[in-house]
Amino acid sequence: MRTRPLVFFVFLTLAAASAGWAAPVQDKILKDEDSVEAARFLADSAAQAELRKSDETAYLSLFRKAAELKDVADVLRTHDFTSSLREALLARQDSSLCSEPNRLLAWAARYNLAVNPTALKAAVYDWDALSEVQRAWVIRRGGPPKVWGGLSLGARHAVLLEWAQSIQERITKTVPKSREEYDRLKVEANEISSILDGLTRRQMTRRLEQAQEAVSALEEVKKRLAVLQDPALQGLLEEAQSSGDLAGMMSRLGRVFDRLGVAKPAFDAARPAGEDQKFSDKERFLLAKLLSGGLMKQLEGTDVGEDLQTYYSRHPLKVSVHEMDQYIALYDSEKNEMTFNEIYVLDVLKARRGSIQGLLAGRDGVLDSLVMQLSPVFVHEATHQMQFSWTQEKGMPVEYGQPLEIEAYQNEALFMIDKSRCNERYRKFMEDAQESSTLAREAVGLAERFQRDPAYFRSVIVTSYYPEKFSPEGAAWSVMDFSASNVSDFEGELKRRAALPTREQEALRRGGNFTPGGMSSEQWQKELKAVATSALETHLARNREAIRRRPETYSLYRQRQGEENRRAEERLKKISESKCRVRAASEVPSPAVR
Amino acid sequence: MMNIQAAAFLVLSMLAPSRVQAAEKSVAVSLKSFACVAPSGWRVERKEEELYFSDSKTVEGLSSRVAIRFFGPKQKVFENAADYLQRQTGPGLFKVKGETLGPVEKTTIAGYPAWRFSRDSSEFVPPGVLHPKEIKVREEFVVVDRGGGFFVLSHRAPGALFKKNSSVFRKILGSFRPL
Repeated sequence: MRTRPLVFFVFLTLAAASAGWAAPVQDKILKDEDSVEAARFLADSAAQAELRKSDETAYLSLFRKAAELKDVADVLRTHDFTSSLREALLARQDSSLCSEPNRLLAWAARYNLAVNPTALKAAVYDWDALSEVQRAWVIRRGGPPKVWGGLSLGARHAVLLEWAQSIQERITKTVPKSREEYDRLKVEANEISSILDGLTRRQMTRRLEQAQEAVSALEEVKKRLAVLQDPALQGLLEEAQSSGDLAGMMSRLGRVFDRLGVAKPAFDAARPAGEDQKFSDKERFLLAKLLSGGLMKQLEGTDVGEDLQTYYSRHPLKVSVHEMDQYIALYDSEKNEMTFNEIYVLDVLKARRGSIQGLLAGRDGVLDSLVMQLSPVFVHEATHQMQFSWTQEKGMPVEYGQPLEIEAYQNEALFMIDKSRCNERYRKFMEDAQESSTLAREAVGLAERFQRDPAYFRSVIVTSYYPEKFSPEGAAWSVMDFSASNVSDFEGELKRRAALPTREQEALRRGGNFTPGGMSSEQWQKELKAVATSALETHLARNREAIRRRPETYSLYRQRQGEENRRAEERLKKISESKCRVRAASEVPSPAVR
Repeated sequence: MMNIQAAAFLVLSMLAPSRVQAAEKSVAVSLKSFACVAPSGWRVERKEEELYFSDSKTVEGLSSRVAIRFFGPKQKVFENAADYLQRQTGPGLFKVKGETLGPVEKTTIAGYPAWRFSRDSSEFVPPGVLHPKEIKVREEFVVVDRGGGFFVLSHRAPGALFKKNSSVFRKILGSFRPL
């Protein structure tokens, strides 16, 4: 992705400092970097309007700085885990506060901002917080403590990421054959997990989960075969023990269990898919159709569900099934499509020893179980689609930051509560599924937390689920910086072109437009010099407008957040007090993952 | 009982909104609806009519956290103290795996009727990974019914820190005064 220089806002900061309005407040925000004053300014629409009227440039500068201060202060106040704190800070490397560790520590200490100062020091890789092994690695990479102290968070992270990745690669290649060997890998994994990015961390932990299942299976097979004396099975055990890859080991152990007629749901979910458990494109398409029909039906009889049904009577519901890296489901606003992860579907299927044909034919209740387990996630992603429509109506960019995620989780919890209150079959299914499905455990835990105390529920979503997501303030300053860097680039290129000979200017007028989507810095610079001059002018105007409109966009997101929180609390009250409209049959299927 | 108004402490009366203070020594803190004494060396943070104290000592990244929250008559989330108590301790829709709730005991705090209960549960650290370390966490809640609003004082900490900091929570409870 493109880098975002801060040239434009350096200028704006100077402009704001020279404005005459409420100089003490400006000083507190711009010079003292006081986050309390910043929060006051952001909440004071009258003061903002007054400054904007007298000097819009100074106002935008002050607004941007206030948003950054409140955003970063909230990060320090909210996260008390090293990993989530670091993830939040790394997502904000365009903020000089977040990118300069010593400055951040001094600022946090000056205003006593960090909820957990120990975790903050660890999050920015303070020398005192590094382990002996990490220090040795840093020194080998040419960084004695003095040099280390002057490095940016990004640079420190890059050095330790290299160390963590070398260990992660070894963990991934190791096939543990004993509990002790597995435990050692787990200890190593815990040491590096807070340094790895979310995706790599999830991949590593998934691999470790499989390894754990493999080691448990190996122990059990050894015990069983010790009394059976079956040469064929003994041969499979020996092959498993000498196998150099985890999939091969699990496949052989699985064959032993198959021959013995032993069902091991957790092991079966982790083992490689069988031939009848591999999706073709046609089967993916058919499953998507079945899921969308089944999930829409699950919405019936609930307040949140009926909102969604009304929404989908006016908007298309596009569902697909594909393999994804980390999410169980995802709504993509560019494609206007909801995707369910086939890896998750296969885990459920494998645990039930089902086949794709059986799933599609609705045999053994597998599809029914899958639909029930996925229904809270469906509500979550459908809420994201409704949010996207709202931003389209308002003519503003969609930003899936903290408020929209909290709203989606609130809807998910409300749906779970509403559905389970009046549908014993559903309630019992989800409660029982906690034993084996992390998805069910998460949904049940969130529903209970929301019922007990909605404010506490909201704080957990931010700290535990989305440390890297931006608050409305975070989105405000980062988008303003991004647009400002674009403005700077467009102005520079237009100035360069104006100095070119007329013939070259004419040729550039006939250029094309930018390639849609993200691009590298190199590609950006290349396209910047080649696109039509009219495209540059159009994008320059759009980016200037994006900066100018950002306070309104921020205000709309904040307003929606307040309204949705109130609405969710009122709904919870209404659900608790109302009688059930639909009471379903009490037949309870067994959970999909067993 | 200690008279908070007469205590020879540094008084941070009416802390600014969201203002955070480091309590180097015991500090009397006064908000609109209540006053109490902050523990020495703990971080103090105010959010409107809520007060949070946190200890810098941690176990696996988790620290002791004491919260004092006022639910006034204008809030619409809970009807009253009894409703809050019912939602926290009554039978939930689901039995959450790994959670246990202690008995609810009647008590008196600053002359007002109050209820005390505790809950044991697990926190998984670091959060968001498939193989986190399970840390046993204990929470103690004290719900004080003032009439026309109620207070919730809670202490949440990993098992090892909970016992150690129980006396700190007791001192906060002892100094707590609805205003």
